Amino acid sequence: MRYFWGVIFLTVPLVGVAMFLYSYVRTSGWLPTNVSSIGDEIDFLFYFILAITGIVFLLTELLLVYAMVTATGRNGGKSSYTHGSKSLEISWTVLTAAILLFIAFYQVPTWARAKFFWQFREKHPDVKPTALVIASQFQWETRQGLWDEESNKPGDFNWKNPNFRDSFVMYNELHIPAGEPVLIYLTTRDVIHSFWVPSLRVKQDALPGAVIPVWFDAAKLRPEDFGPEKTKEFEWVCAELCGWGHYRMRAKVVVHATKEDYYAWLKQKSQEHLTVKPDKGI
Amino acid sequence: MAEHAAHGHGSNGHHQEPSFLFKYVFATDHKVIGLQFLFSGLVFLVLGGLLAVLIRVQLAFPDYAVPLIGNYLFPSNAGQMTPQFYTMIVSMHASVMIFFVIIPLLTGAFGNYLIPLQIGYKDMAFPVMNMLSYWFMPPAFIFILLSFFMEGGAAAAGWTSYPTLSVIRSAAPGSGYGQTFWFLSLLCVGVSSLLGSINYMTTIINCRAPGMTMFRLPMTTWAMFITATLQAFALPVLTVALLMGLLDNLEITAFFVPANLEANTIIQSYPRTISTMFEALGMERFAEKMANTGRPTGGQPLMWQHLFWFYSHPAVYIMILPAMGMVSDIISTHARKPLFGYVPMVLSVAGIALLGFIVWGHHMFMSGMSPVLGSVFMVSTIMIALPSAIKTFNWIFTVLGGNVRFNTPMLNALAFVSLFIIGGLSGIYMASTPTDIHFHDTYFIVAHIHYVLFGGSLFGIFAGIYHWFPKMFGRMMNEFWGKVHFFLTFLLFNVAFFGMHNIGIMGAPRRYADLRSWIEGQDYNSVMMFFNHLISFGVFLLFAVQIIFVINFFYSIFWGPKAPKNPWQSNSLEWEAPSPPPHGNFETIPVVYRGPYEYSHPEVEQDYLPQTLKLDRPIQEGHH
Repeated sequence: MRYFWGVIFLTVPLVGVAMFLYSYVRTSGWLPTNVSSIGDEIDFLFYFILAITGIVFLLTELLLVYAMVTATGRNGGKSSYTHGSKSLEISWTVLTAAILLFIAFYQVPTWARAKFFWQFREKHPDVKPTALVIASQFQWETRQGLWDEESNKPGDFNWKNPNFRDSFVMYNELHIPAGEPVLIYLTTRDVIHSFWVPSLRVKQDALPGAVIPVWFDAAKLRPEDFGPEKTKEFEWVCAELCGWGHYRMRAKVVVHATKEDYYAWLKQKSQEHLTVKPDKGI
Repeated sequence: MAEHAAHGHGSNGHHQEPSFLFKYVFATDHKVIGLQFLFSGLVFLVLGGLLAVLIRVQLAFPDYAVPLIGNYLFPSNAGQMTPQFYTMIVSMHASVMIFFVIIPLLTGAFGNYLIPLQIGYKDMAFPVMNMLSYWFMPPAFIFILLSFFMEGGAAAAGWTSYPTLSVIRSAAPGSGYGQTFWFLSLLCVGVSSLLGSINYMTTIINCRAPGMTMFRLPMTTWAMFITATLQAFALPVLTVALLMGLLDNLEITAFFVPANLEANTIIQSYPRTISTMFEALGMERFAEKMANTGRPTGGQPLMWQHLFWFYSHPAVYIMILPAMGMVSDIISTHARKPLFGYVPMVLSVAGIALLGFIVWGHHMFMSGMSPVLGSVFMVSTIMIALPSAIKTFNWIFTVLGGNVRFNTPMLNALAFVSLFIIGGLSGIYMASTPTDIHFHDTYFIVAHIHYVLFGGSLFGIFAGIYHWFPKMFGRMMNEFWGKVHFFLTFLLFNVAFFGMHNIGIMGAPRRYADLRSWIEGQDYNSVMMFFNHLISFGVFLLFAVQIIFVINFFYSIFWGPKAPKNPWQSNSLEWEAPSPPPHGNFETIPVVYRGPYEYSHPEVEQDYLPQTLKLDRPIQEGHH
């Protein structure tokens, strides 16, 4: 009987590994395509954790199965009588603690690069906001335009009056240039939403009553990656339950091949919108 | 202690048999209260399971009408499930399973039933308070069940009920009285748990039998003690948060509602609720003044998340620590081997509890909370894997070199270990802030929580029921059907939940009513639907095979073979009481001579050594 149950318990690691392999092959690499610079680090950390947890998973599951099938009471129908081992306890505590601490501290720099605003500002002091993104049930409103140097002090962003020159509003579309760091400001009109572009490895909740700076890039896209239309679209979705229409709050981030293409698009778009009187903001 | 014990013993003799009403309904006997929690928990388990089946019907067949009930529930939608309904059942599945099944079953049912028996006392320290702790549950049941019939349906803001979705009544169909009743219901559950936890702590500290030192307590009681401490510290925060949420939801206050919102553009009209209330009280002028001023604003939605998770993260441990304790006892008993590392096991439970209070922020990495704080929470959260790892190693080393009896309680307990390993390891992906950028709010977290709460807690509950059923009902459960139930549940559980890791890595967002065409242009669709079908059929079958358990459970209560006092040859005190124990538990108050894990002692002929057995010669024993 113990072999039967041993085999049954063995199916857990086997099925687990099989499912991972199956989906790896079928999706050519699990994770959504990554086109951002921070994404390389995040993906590497994913594989790094996967390797550690995968090894620990297989070892502990196999040890459990081994313990089960060998637990036959070899001391004359009795178990071995032991209450534990101090040296074993100390060694696995110290070893596990060391591995966990390493995992934790090893990841802090990537997190800092992804989310610490002052780090972004230190590295890119001149980047101006590209857009104000306002979420609402169940759509994304993006206000884009040229940054107006005259009416804004450097670093300031007045979200109630974004002061983009010739700005215009679009829905469920955000245009960015490839290869450049992009800064947007994110807020919401009603409930919590979450700005998520899987391929750019960026996720940030939009918080009622707060305007949050979010930055990302599509740095891995080179001009030669683009087809004749010179843009690429990426899935942009809401990741935080925001009501019944949560699942349909999906939009597109449109990446232009070069900065010049982006500005050309911006100029053309604002020309089109000139006839429409810009509304007063929020 | 001795005084208590003598009193307990003395009062048994001239104890008057209470009437039916006070024996089974308003009972003060901890065993009856435990069984009340057990039965109501199992009923809600069925409800929660049904909701899960409905969720999976929608995700696997988003284009089809819901079979059987579709035409009645969604007549205007050709029988197809509406997304409004979907968000409601997603929210209620989690709320029911967490607050009405797992917590009441683990702390309410097993805590009540086992603590006095394992420490050798006649009842809880405060029997009437214990009764009250159960009778705060029925109002909660009524509120949560009624909420389904409110206009707009039950709460649909997720089990986390994040404002402002949950407190702006026009923001979601369920955010009206459905959400109000959700808050009320959880308030009652909270009071129930709080009364229980005070009782558990007091009983364990003050009422232990002579000789029962703290370090002779079985792990189940240790885990219940630490869980009760967790609850006592964390529940006041939840209660406060729920009250604030309730007042916000009634549009009286604005703790969580900032200024300048435009939810559906109509939220700022005032509070008919409160002004009608003042009108009814005869304070028309005040009511009018309130009606004219408009809803107050200026709150902070993040504050709810801090308060809620300050309770609800420790609550995750409230939902697993008792199961860990029970599994430790069950594994040691059926492996016929002393628990490996008793003191490290106790310390790691305490470690989990302590660390459990400083990790709540890991739910909020993407919330707009300071990312600097996020990195601190990352380190504390990853470190909480340490005590969990220590426990896992100790369980495996308890089995290693044992003489395992592969019966149903043991198999379920071993499944707990096997599945908890997965649940524990998958937590690291979300604890790590950088990878959490991708994994936050995807199916990966859904897989993780189900490996911990179903693979962990629910398998622990199954193990506990199979193990203590003979004590609770005086009869044995059917071993063969128990094993069939375990075999199918164990395999189908993995079919149902393992694939969620994979679609989570692909980024499938949780709480989406439709997962098709996820990331267009990346050919995810066929794999996504393959896993969705696999998961759904796994869940349907998993739900169906529970009928074996239900039949076995009820058949055995009435017709199972009579159970002896100590069917598993176990050491701890509950097996010294008759099966089932009478009112007052023990014939004579037991005296304890050793710890609960003296199995297979080489100097003793039999392979167990009850805590109460006085030997005529001293032998070398374990840790004390």
